[in-house]
Amino acid sequence: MKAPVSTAIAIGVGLVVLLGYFIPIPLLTNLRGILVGWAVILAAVALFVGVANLFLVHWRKISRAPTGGVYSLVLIISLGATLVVGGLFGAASYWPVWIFKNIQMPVETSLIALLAVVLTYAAARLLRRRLNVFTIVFLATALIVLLGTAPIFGIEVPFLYGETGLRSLLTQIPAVAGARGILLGVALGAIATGLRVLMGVDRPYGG
Amino acid sequence: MAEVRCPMCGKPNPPEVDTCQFCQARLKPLVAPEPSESTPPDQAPAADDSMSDWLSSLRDSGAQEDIEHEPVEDNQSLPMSGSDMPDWLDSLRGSSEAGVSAFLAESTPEGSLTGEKTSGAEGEWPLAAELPDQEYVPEWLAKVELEQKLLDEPASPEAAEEGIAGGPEGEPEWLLKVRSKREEDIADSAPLEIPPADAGLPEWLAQSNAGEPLESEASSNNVSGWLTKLRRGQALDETVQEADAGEEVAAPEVSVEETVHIEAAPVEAAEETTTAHAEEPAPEGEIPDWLAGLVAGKAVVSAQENIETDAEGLPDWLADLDKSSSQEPGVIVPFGEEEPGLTFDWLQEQVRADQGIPISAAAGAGEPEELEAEKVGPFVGDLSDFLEEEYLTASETEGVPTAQSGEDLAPAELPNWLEAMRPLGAAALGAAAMGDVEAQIESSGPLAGLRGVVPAEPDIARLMKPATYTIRLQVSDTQQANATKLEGLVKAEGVTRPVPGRPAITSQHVWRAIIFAVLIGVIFWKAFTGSQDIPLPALLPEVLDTSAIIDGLPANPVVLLAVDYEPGYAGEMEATSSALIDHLILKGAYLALVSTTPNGVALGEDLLQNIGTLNGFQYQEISQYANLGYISGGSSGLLGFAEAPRQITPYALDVNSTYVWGQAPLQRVQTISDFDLVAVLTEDADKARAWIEQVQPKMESKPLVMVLSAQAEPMVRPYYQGNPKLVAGMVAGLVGGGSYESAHPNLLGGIGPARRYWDAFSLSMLVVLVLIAVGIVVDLSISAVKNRKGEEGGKAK
Amino acid sequence: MSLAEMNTPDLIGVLLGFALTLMAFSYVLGDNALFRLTIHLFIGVSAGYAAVVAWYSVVFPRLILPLINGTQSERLFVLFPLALSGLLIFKATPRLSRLGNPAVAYLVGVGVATIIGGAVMGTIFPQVMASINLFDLDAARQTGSSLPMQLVQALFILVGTLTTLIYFHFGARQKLGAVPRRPEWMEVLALIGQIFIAITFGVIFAGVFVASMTALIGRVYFITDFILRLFPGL
Repeated sequence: MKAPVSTAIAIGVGLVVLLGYFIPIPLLTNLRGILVGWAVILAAVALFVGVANLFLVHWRKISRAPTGGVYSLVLIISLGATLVVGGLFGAASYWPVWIFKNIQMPVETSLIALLAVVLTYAAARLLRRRLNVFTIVFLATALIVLLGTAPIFGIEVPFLYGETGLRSLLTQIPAVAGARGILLGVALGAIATGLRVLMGVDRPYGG
Repeated sequence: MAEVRCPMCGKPNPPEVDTCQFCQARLKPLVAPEPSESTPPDQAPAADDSMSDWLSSLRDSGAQEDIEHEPVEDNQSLPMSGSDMPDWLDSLRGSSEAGVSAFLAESTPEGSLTGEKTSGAEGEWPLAAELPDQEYVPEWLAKVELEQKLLDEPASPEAAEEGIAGGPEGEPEWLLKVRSKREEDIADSAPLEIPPADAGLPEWLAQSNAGEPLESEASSNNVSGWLTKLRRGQALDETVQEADAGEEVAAPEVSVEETVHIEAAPVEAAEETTTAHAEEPAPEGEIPDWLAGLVAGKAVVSAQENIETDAEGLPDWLADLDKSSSQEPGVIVPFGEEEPGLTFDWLQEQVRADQGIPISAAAGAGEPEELEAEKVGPFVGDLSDFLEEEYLTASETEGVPTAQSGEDLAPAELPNWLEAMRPLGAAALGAAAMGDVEAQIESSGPLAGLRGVVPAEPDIARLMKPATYTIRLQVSDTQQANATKLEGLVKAEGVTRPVPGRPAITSQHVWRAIIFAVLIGVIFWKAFTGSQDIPLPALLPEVLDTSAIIDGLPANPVVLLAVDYEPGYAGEMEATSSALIDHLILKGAYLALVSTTPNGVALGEDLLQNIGTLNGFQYQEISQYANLGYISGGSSGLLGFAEAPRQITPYALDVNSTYVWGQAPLQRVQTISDFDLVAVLTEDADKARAWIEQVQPKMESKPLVMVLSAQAEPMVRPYYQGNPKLVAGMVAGLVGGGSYESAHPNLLGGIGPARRYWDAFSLSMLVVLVLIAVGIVVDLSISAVKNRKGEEGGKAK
Repeated sequence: MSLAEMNTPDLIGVLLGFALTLMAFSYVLGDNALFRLTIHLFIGVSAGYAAVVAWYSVVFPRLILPLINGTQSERLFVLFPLALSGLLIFKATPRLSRLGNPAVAYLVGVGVATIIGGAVMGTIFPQVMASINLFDLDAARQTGSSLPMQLVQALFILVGTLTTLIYFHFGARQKLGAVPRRPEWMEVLALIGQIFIAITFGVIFAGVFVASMTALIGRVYFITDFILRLFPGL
């Protein structure tokens, strides 16, 4: 077996945490709390590793291709400036929030706003790309829900609005049934995948 | 007594046997040699010590056989006994000494056939040559020498006396008979043919086959018989070889022809003798009768005559040699073709085609029909296109030549691809070797003067430059072109091809620009006008539940506010949650902000600032709210926070990093269930599910409220609509925020973000629907027109 | 509040936000240098802020402070995560990446167990109970809803849930010489489940559209506010 130490750690820790869900023994609960607490610390350190990797990648881009590394330079400068400002003033203080509010938020909000244009174009071309029963059902449902979301010129169409309206019926009955099936399927899949890891069959940690 | 060496195969045999145990050749002559007057059989002269013991033993046994044989007719006297040995036989012994000694000394191994000299006494076996060096001389060799002598030297009385033939006076009757018969045969048979085995044999041959007691002729007849049959087989091979002049069989051709030449040497010699003497009767005494008898039985066959091999009387090894295949008699097996199934059928067909034998004729020549049906080229279907094309082209162009006469078989023409596989040097070597062998005239040894025999000297003595072989393939232009194409394809695999350039402006760009312009225009219009005419949506059930929960909170509740959305959805989440948070602020709730994303810290701060701007009441002090920061680890962090929030987020992210857990109101909070309300603000259904799965079970009876983006609502609704309700209340999207604002118009100064956006939202929704409908119609129309044009174009064609 | 009344940081911030909004909107015309510049600036700021938050929220108070100010037991208690954190840092280097495997294995083990427990306790049990309790007629009477309608609704939801689950089952018995296929009855049920899934995804698509439209409206209102602040007379 490759990497027996890592596998033993993963399985041992996982079993302790999992048993804590079903066996309410104080010792097990306390041990689980300690292990989970350490995992929270490791997750934050993993975020640092990710940021460091991002820095190194763009640093190499600047080193290899000075002409094509302008964007990487912008990234590294903004990263460094944010680190400096945040390190000096704290995460929730004025200046780091100012940077976040006036740089990150407008850009990200604008990108999500562009999604409306892209989705409109995609909905208009959908039937041409794939014309079948399920596509028609999908598009019709979306249009009905959109139509029933806001009143048309201030007029609420009766069969669309209200608790007995078509929109409510669609969102509260068939959509709930489908969503429940999807949630159950996702949960079953997560359980199967997790058990494979806890049994050592899958080793995503490099084992 | 010493072992007897077989004159044919050279293997030792017991002295008492008459025929060789291995090759069935006669060991003891049928004619018992007459004992010499001067030299008794057991008193060989000193010079004859080399005479083989076997010969002497043969004489003794032959004499014994003569006694045992049936009494012969007068005219068929026994072969010469020792006392009746004619002078010519004695002279034979002496004349053959010098001729064969040299060759036999080198070619024959010691102790095999040599070492024993024949008895030099008269009456001993007349066919054996007596050598002074006690070396064995095969009788055919002796005959050859004799013939050569006869050819070179004119007949002289001395030669007549010493030579082969004696006069009628001295000739035995059997010899006379043979001669006469031979003369008759020569006169009768114009084309030299091999008669079938069962009929037409010369009398002496037939009599020998029948086993008549031609004692005097027994040995010669048997010898003649095997020699005759040998000639038959040799002639068959010869004619077959003549039919196939293909070079690929150059090497075996050489060896086979060499073998043929070796075997045919006596035949040719006999033929020459026959041809030389057929027209003119040989003077008496010049041609030995036994030799004439042999010549009469020679077989020169035309190529297409059916040859029936008769193994009767033939030694086994000769019979095997004569057998060409297990096919039915009468089937000509061209050279290069063995039994069906032994070679590739495709090669068989090709060879036949090249040889000019029609395939139908070949098929009718006796091949089974199954084989004919199964004949499929092994490369058909496997060949790449150009190889297959080449193969078929070669087959077509070369064609199947018409069947020619058996004597004029066209040389085989190989297909190009087969020709290319052959080393070039082999053909030259073969031809050279062939030429060398054919052109060579033996200059020494007993075969001196003969052409095309195996050289007496070993090859090592013949200085010949070793042939150089070339390994270059012969490829045609088409093959070269195809190979170049293939090489180019393989090389192109590793080369990145340039991506074809796209036009700068496509229909997609145009459509997106139109949609963007229309939407922006509508929203700008509503934003600039500040229209708020369209009523907010009615109170939704889930919004009503949430409002009721907040209304049911105790005074100054401690509320955990999880700001778990991304900055991109800040606009929608602010519009959705502002009324709810303001409602909590109005309740005097202590807000503990947490987030499972790092951006949630700043988002929470920004949210509270904006709400404070709207309601005029800023949450700024640590006594009003605490930003507990970031919970890392996702679900694991939520599990840890739910069980021990103090350990996971010990300090607030204020300037002083205050330990808020030690002061009111968070002092009483030990676990998640100590919060009066947990409100999760998220745009992601997975994050909402993580809060529901990890935190809600720890909350006991405390409510969990979800403030969601419109895209997360469908996947969270099953938790809200289920029984038991894991989500107590839900406010989703701008509709939910508008519904909440409509339910609480005093919140946010009456102008919440949902109210502000509602008119623009309503109009833009309608515009979007119109755009989608128009786009679908236009798209389908265009595709229908294109399809119709395509159909019309297809019909026109 | 007009721009003149704003303090400098806020003014600069608004101007910066306005410019970045327009630069991000330029993507409608296609990929361009301004858009790439905006994106790289955004990535750098977000990565830096995330690191700042992680440091102040987790690493410093839970890993560094106990080592500095904590008791001996607290320091010993912190040694194990400190060691694992040190090993995890090696994951940033390709050559020594294998040294970080134990730390990653620890994270994976805890995360997987958490997910399993949450899926069982938080989704499977409650959702199954919810599907069963749909046929609770007593609860329906208490809510005042019509019993037949409640039953029809419950049946409809149950059929939808089951057929959706059946659609995601792709196992089939393999027969010699034939392509593995589900039984016919399963194919029919999967088809019905597909319709329910199509409706659910249609509702989700509408929700995504609403969210993005709201974001667009928010951005346009921001620009409008900026322009109105710039030109108060408008």
